[in-house]
Amino acid sequence: MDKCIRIGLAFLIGGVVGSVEIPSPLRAKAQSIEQSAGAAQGEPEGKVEGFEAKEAGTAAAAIESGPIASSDSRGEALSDWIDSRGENAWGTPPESCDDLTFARRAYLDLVGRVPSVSEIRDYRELGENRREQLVDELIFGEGPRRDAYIRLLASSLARQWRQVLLPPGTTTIGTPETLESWLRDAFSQNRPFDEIMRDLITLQSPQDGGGYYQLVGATPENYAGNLSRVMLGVRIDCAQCHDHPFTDWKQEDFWGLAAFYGDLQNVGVGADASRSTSRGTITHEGTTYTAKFLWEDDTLDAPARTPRVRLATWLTSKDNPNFAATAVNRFWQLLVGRGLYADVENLDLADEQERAFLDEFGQRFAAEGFDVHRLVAGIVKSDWYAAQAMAPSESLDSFQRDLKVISPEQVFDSLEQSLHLPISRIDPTAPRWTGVRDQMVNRLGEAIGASPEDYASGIPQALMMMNGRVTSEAISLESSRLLRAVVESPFFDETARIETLYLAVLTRQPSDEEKESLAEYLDKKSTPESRRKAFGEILWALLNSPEFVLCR
Amino acid sequence: MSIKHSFERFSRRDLVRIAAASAGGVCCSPWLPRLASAAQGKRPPKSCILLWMSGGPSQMETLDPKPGHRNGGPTKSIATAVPGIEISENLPEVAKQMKDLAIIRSMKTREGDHGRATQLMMTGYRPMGGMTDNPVFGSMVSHRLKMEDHPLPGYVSIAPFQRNQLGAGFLGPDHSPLLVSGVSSDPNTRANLTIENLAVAGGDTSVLAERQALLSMMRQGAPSTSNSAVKHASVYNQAMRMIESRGEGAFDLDEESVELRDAYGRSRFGQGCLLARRLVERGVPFVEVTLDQAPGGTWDSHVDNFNTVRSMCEVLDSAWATLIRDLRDRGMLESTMVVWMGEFGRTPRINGSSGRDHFPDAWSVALAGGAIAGGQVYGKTSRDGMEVTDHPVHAQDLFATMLEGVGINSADSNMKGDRPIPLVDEDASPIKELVG
Repeated sequence: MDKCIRIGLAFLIGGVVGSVEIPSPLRAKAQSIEQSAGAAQGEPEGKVEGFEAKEAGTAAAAIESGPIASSDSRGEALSDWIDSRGENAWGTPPESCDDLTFARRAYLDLVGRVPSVSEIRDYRELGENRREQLVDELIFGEGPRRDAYIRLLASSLARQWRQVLLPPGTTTIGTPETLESWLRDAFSQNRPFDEIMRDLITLQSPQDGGGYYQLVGATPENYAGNLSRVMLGVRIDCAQCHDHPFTDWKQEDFWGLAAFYGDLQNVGVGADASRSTSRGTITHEGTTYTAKFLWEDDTLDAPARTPRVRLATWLTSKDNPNFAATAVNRFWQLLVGRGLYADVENLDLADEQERAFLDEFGQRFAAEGFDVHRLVAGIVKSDWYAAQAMAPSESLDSFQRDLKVISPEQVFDSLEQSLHLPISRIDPTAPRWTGVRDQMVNRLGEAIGASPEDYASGIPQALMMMNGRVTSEAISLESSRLLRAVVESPFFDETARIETLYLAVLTRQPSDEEKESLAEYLDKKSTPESRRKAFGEILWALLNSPEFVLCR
Repeated sequence: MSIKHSFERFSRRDLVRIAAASAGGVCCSPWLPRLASAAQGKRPPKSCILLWMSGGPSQMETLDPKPGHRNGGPTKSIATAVPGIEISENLPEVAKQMKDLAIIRSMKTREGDHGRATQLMMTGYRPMGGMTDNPVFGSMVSHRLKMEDHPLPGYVSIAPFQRNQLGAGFLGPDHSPLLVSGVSSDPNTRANLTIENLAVAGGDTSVLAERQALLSMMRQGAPSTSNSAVKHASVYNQAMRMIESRGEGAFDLDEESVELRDAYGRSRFGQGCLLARRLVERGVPFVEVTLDQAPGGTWDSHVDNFNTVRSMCEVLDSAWATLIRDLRDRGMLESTMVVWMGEFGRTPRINGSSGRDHFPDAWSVALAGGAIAGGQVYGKTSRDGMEVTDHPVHAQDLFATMLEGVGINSADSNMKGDRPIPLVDEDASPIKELVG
């Protein structure tokens, strides 16, 4: 028993970064990916097939309004630009959130879990610039926890993009883990975003690109629908069966994109051998379609000649109006909660004014070499990211940051951190490896909203958080490491106990009013035993409070 | 309101409810809303029980036998309670309920893959692309017919099949199904239907009032101007009420007589049908009970069709027939529509393994209760079963009919944001012969 308390206290005070071991990257695989990325560069520089020849420097001209310093290694210049461009669009930013709220946001968004009590302590000891310093630690690995944070950032970005690529509701063939681990490798090396996407486009075999082609059903039409959704921010799959009623997508657009994958027809599980395979064309219900870029009237010349390499070059080009804009819109949505244009997969419905900020931002991202870490840092360091949630806004057009729903994995990983659950590398019975994590993530994953602002959990999810195994064990003095560390520590009085629980679970101090009413609550407990147990009830309420799953 | 007072307020009210619940008093709960409103002479709102035959049952061995034709195989037909209508010998108990049943023998759909066909028959819309946010029928019914402020959810799914995320879609979490599964695959205990995590963590219900009060205090930390915070509170309140009332006692199947439980059949499906009735009685507008396998059978009868379908029918026959009879005995049939369907039928031609494969061109479903006029067969297939010869019914027509069957105007639309989405796909018309 003493030992348990010591371990618990060590977790609480000693500054262990709760995390898991990630399987080491598959070197051979990474190399083959690099090679195929090289192949994508096959087109000559200068003119990109599928675009009108443009005056040299058009893209650069549009961003002359702000300097792009190569010295902007930590996203400062970008965040300054975002701040002023945002003021241009929305007026004065809302008041900034407090330091602890900022830390909670940054930890959840960048490393995928809430900060530990010791991390909070270290953060508070940083100087005036603690927010920037924290971001630099979490993104660029400044400071003593470098390896852990670099690993966790890559995992966290990979998880977010896996969900963009395979949104909730997708029926996958095979396990999404292959894709996630491929993305993790890419993000941990900070490969340029356009390069990562080109790998997904140019795949030589269905196993390339983390097996994305196979996961979404191993058919050209499924892949076409997903690529346009993910990379161009348009939904053209409605045009699979009929011309789209609201926008101007035609069946030629949809099947023209699918045709790039015409030679990957019969590769999946339950493949339909009756379908013919061909390079650069595809036949659907008697009509043969030739590979064609979106927004183009004409089909490709010599479509059988490296069609996917040409598609990749066209799609990820700086001249493609939607590629970079869609990317920054996604990153903005993942970090701030709502896209700069909220309907992130229907960019074609946005009007010119709604597109302006987005397009300029995208051009900047492209001009800076699609550097993901710098983009993320730029957004997180901006005033808009730091805006207080639900600050009263003057008009409908002004910027408002809503609460952000944390993802199923973030829920578990935060619980693991807050509750000091046994960590895998130390303890093989850790819930992460005994199926408890999967169970929780799957149950929560049954009800995920369309955007991070959309809380979609239902009764089964609530019941699990209220009565499920993790919670039951967390609130029991016999099994809970956090609770015992807090309740049995001789260093804490009752106020300190309450404060520690709040800090561990909600990353904040209780308000005076909360302290007062919890003191009243404890005073009603007549025996020392029931008083001790009451801390379990307080912890239950913290874990089930809206604040735990809805980040301020 | 001081927080201190809120503790006392919660305690008093909730202690009474908890006492009632934990003393096993729920069984005597004086208000089963549906019966109560009937007793007061009000016309109760309608509900629906969907018997979902996941896998695609053979029409030839159930509702559309073809004795005397090579395609019919050895399956014989038997007379029903309605002169002139015959169904398969595999369903003798169902045959006795024919006066309340309307069989549609002319289903003609276009999807022959389990996943796609399931999506079509559950949402009424053909699948497009990789994902859907169209709500399933149960969510639509819940959305339209759930009583406000009712402690039970509007849509319960019993022994659910692999859903692949089909659910409430854009109608949102208030209308997604509450999944109820058997706790064990042991055939002796699997009728023990329950909701996961319904029992209080720590086991002692006396803490509920305290938790409720602590929680509502902590809610002040999340701005109520946020939609997410509002939804969170709503879902938690619903879940809390489920816990307090232990699901209004609906899950206490022991309250039913041994004879009735036996009549439904001691299978998960049989007891699931009984649970469905108890849920509808307590005001749940939509309950779905899945039958996808039984000892010695599945509906997906590619191999050994005749034996495997017979095994399935042994479970199905008593449960389905008893459900209709039980609803009628309790005066609930007029307000409760019972739908029997799968995602498609089976090929009339018997394959080399004595099996039948997927067949969406000509197959059968059946409706009873609610606004459905029973005692009839609608539509017809050819002698060999290969095609519909009379009154083809498409998925969207069936959908429109089912909506009218529970009193929902099938011409209505749902709002997805500010865009109206018709309840049923284009060109649908409800079957007049069934719903007037």
